[in-house]
Amino acid sequence: MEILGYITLTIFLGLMLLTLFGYIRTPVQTVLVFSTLLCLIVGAGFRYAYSGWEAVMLMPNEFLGGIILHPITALLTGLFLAGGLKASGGFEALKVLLQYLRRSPIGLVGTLVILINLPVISSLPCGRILAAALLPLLFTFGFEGGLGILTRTQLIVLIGAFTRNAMGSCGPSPIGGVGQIGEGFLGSFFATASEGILRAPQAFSLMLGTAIVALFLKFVSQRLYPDDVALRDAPLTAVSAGKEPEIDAPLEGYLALVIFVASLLTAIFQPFGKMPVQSVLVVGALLMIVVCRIRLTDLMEGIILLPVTAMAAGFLAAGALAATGGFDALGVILNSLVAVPFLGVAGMLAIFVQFQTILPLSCARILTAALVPVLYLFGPAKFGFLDWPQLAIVMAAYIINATTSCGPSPLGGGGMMGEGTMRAETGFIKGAYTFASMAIMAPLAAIYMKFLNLSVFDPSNENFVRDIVTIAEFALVIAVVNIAFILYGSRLFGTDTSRNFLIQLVGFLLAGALSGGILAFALFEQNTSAILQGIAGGLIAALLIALMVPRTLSRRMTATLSGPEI
Amino acid sequence: MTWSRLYRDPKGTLWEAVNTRGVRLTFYLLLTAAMFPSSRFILLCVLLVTLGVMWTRDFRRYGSPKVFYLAAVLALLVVGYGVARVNVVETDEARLTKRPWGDGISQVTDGTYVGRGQGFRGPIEVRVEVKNHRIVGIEMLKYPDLISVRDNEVAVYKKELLEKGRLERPEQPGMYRGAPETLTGYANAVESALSKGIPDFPRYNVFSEVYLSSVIGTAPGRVTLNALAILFAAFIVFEYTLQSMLTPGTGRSINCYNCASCVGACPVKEVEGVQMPMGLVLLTRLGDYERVMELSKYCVGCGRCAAKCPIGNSGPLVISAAFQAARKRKQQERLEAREDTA
Repeated sequence: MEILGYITLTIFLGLMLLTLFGYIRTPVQTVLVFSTLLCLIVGAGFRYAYSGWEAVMLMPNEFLGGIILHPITALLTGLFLAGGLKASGGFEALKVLLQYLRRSPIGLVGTLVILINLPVISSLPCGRILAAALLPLLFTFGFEGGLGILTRTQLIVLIGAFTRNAMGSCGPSPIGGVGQIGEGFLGSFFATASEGILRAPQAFSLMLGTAIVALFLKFVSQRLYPDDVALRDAPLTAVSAGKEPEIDAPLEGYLALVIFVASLLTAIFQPFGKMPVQSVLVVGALLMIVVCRIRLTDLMEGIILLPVTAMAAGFLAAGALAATGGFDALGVILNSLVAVPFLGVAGMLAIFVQFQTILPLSCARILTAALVPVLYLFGPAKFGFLDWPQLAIVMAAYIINATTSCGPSPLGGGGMMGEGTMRAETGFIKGAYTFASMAIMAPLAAIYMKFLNLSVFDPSNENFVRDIVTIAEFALVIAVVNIAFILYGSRLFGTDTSRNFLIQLVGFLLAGALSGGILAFALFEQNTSAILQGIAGGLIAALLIALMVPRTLSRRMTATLSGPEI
Repeated sequence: MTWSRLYRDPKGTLWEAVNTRGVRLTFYLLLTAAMFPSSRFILLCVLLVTLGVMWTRDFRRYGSPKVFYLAAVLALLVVGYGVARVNVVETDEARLTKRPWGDGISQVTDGTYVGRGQGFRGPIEVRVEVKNHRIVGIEMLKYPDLISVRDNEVAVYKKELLEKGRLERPEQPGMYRGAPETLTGYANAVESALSKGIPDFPRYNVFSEVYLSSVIGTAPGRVTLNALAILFAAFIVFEYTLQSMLTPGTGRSINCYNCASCVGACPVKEVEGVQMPMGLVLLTRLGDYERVMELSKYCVGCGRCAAKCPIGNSGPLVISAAFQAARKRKQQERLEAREDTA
């Protein structure tokens, strides 16, 4: 029967890889459902042959038992509320507020920094919601958008950084975020985990990761792919910036914004006693219908089906793998990785944490739903590689890496919204996004969880201040080293694309080694062999990630877009 | 849709009904009411308010009399409730002297009776055996609540009832979630069973029973509201997905990733606040074909979006499908208007 697990795991991973590399041109969800059916059919056949009909009849229970409804319904209702906000002009009201902010002492730069971090501040259940509403606004800052405040390079950095921040904000979201899947599993030991044990590490690392993305886009991506963005700069003859368009927001927009914020705060802090987040959000949405006079259709317009169906399909695939022994097979494979001397537990985890960046799908939820149970089994629940605090540390690193994986996905990932807005070829942002996820976000989330978050959830800890200083030191080292990689690495770029790619690969490997080492330190502290194993794992993960970054991009679309006929 | 059409072309009319969003939403409402008794009163209120708003608007615009029919139905419901309520109050008063609690067990004749009560998660059903005006046996027939409550709290209470041989109020413990509700439901189930053994025990009349169970259901609580909120969102999304499945040619719009790569490729990019052509695809998914038709005049038909889209959606494709759907819908409306005039 063990062979069954290997077969179903091969079916699942094979179909995912074929989709990722474009051999299957079907939405990922459809492929997942197909993989589920295939796994179940094969599983049923094996069970019938080995244990008879009754074993087959047990399968539906085992397979459907894996579906966790809470994140799905929380996501649905979160999208619902955001739909109401969009329909009632709430985002217009937000734009007006940002305009006031620009005229305030913090000025344009301060406002842009706030704007870039707005997704993680608002933490909606899917980054696409805010991105869809605000990317057109960002575009207006450029020459083609009319304002002409920012140059082409600045606009690429702005849009890229904003999209990065958005396509990771679903992680810390308390209203159906991806992190809630991990929090649910950690809840079996940390009683208050569901109140947001993973939220702060994710938000912290996402903010720093966004800054690194901005640097990478400026110094690396634009030099690697100089002709693959069709945005235009202002011609030299242009004298001054265009006149700023007036943005008017309806009163309903402001009201909707107030209702939105109030609902979010009520859902998070529960001032009226315990109640499901979903109820609070639906009541907020209904209140918007009444107060802001919007139609049900307008509310439905905001719903983005992809994350909902992706999560449901991910759970189905996970259920099928669980019922047919696929996870056991994966466990055995990972166990054998642990037995490899230069990898060990630390090395294996350094690869596992980066799994979703290596295999980026259109929504992080697909693989997260399938792989978080595997990660859970590494803890005291089954394999015992990690104790509970260590599991929380790995979970923090894994989840931030997973949530940001929709950014670089070429399968309709959220990052494509940014590429679309900056008129770039598909894959332009991939290097920047994967580098930040791998080199910055995962190790920072792990360090944050180790030194601060676990202490917050353990009030008896006396080393609170010392831990904050430790985090600051680590953050500084990680940031400085990676900035140095980006700045000095980019100076070596020339006109030879193969050489440039090789330089980038080396940069990825160095950053991956650092990331793996820090992750191992977060888990096993000053255990030298574990740190070396972490470095080895980080190197392997970095190699796989770097090889997935395109060497050159297709110029077909750029040629037609920038051609004389436009 | 008219009754004469239903008679002439039942299949076509039913298919048209399935394709009408209002009919589908009403179906979800009825389905929820049927499966979820404690939501009936809330759903009835929602239905009445929605119809009231819609038909008042129709009355003001076209002078449609439907709102008066609704008012008549509402009046009937109120009168019906009044009649049922009078019967309930009278019966409850009459029951005061005939209740099986405490010494009231002396009125219960020997035999085995089945009764029901509302527990924490659903109805609890028990079979009670009475001999010599004493409770000698209680068997649980249906129990949907927590096993921990059954094994710890209900078991103790049952033992107490059997020792005393009569029905006493349970103590309300706070150890387990939902335990007070379960114990109350269990006691009510025993009371309901014992009541059946009392000769001439006052009963509600048939009208009251049918009216209250079908229209009001059971009393809604916080759980009902939470469940309704989640169901509401789930139904709306299901409905939203179904729209493009039912309309030929628009099915692919379900798969839109909202990635906006088509927007990057489109020479038009944004008109009237709609991102082109992604906005067209999303409007098609909603079933707003008229708006798609309005915006279609901006599409230059270059097809670059199709080359960029990871799943092969394109502006021209959805415009063509929406055009077909909108034309069919308009033909249908014209036909109905002609029938109404005739």
